[in-house]
Amino acid sequence: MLKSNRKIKFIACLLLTGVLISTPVLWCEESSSTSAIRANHLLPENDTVKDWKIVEGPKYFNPESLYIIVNGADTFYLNYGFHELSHARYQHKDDDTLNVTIDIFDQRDVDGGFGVYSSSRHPDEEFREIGTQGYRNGSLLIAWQDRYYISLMGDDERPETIHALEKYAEWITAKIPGEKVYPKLTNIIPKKNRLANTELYASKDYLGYRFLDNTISAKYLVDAATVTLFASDCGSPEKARTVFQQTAEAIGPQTETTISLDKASKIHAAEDKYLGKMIILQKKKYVYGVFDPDNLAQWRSLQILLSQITQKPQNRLLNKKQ
Amino acid sequence: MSYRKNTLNRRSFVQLGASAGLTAGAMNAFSEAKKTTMKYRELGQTKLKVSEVSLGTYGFNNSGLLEEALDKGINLINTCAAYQNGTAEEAIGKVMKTRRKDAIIFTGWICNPRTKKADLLKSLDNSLKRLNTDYIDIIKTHNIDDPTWLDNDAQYEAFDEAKKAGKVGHLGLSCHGGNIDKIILKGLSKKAFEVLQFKYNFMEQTVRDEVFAEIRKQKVGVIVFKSQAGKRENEIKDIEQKGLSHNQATVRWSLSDPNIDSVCVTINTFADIREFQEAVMKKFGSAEDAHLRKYAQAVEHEYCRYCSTCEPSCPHGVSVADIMRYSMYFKYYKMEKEAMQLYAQVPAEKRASACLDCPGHCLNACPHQRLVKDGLIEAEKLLVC
Repeated sequence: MLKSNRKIKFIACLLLTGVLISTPVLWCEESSSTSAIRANHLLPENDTVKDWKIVEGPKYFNPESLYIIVNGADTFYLNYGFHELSHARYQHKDDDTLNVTIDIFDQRDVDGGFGVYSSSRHPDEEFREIGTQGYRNGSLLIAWQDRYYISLMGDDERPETIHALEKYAEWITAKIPGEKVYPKLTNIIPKKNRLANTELYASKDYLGYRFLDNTISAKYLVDAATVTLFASDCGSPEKARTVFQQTAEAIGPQTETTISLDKASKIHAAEDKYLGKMIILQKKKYVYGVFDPDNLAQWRSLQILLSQITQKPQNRLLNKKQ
Repeated sequence: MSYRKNTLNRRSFVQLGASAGLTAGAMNAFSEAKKTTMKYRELGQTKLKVSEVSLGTYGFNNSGLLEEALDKGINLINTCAAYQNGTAEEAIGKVMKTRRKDAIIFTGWICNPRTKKADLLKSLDNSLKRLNTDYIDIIKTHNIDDPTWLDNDAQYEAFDEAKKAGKVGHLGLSCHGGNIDKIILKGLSKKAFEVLQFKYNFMEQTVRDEVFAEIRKQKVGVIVFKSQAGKRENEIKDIEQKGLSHNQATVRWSLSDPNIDSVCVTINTFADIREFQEAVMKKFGSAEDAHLRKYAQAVEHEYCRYCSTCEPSCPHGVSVADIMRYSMYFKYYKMEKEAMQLYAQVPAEKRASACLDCPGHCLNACPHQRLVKDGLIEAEKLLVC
């Protein structure tokens, strides 16, 4: 254990030396993250919104203490790379019934931030550009930008509360540096027929399978049916072959043999007990799949949707804004 | 008035562990195996028979997983209106269209000291709609942070009105942070709650014997969560033995306590369902007792809670909590570079270098009996290039 720690430390020292020489001090550098600001620096101060002050907190929570504030939900945030939570409640100085509670979750990278955000996003919300994206539903305002998932909750929907929610959200997101980007994986799934704001990112255990990690999914309209397409980045073609095999075994024996895509792609088509018609495909380091839980779509339609994967180059340029 | 225990050496771990075989026998008297795959217990006096493991749904969005859980006899579904802005309830609702009779729905509303009855009733109606049902078995006031929150009568008035309207069956409360004992006692004094849900595990018995006695006296149902006491993977890998897995051992430990009716667990995969289902059907034996003891030993004294209780004892003003946190980042979270960067930002006079020649004023300062100085010296060695 000690030897192992020494080796890790040596490597970390080398990396750290490189960072210190080449850049100013960073909080946390992530390849897919553009931010370098501590979540606690994003909490508004007194009078950021005129006449509103902090009455509870600020409190900070790390991976070990997160459970104190989010109940049994800590596993969820930890699975998305949770790093730090900053929490405070604000109140109008002349009316103690006007309250707004702010929670800023630092999820370490844009995938983690989007993963948490996308899991709470309903496609029917009225989305706005608060951060990369956000919405207000009654007295709850949710925003996401880069590695940060931001929740602002008012005690009621009075105009003063809503005004404070909006101003705080604007102030916080304006302080987050860098471009407003979506996870890179979002760009490997087809755009055609994709239903807006249905993208979900799962860091692990997609569909309840321990082998399906790092997965993006979205809903598509096919044959007037809503079907789901997913793509898992397995890291390497070898790993993707294994994951493909595990997924095929999990959904059951091939029941549909008339489907074929290109020669390079390995497919498996079966009817899953819960997910309905399902076709999975392995190509390069990815495992793709499409399924229709309501069993309304035709096999051929699912095939056409999935064939977009095999026909398009995989390394399209990243879409900066959606 | 003693706590049941907080550390490995205290009385109840031994008692519970040693008497597991006996309690298992007693347990079977009130456990009813409706199906061969699951066991059930009566939830207080609600007349609801709930599965010994119940499904926690924060982050939940997988209908197939819920169907499988129901197929395997897990019937108690823990959720809350606030989980992912209602999307967890929506995912459950998709399955409830066809499986409502198989499930006992335990959802929650948020009631802080400022919440009004109308807010709660609106929240309840939204939950009913999302869950695709016209009846919720148990509605809980979720995530009580302070006993004074229970003085807000809006929750009782809203519950009474909803019950009269046939929308809900029972009122519960959940709490998890500090003050669990006080919150429960206050809740019991209200004579309104029929179900309690709180954090409780082999490391942290948050509720005293006297409080459990009062719970039993009032015949209130008990659902516990956070049964795993964290999941320190390194320790688990080092010490997991034959027999039950760590997850299974922790669940079985909780279930060996007859005060507990169901253990709420996070289920993310089909494999999790199998694992917890097996846990229910197995007995808590000596191998599992030994496993949890080793885990508790490994974690109890290794594991800094970052509470800063020890800091005033240090004449050098060492930033113990921060340094231990950075050490954790290095050791457990594979963030070696960031941990060293952070340590480099700690003012020189507050770093653990001061500990190298110190006699150890912090020796008895940790409420969890950690050897603070040893941890700091280790951190200094890890975090300095």
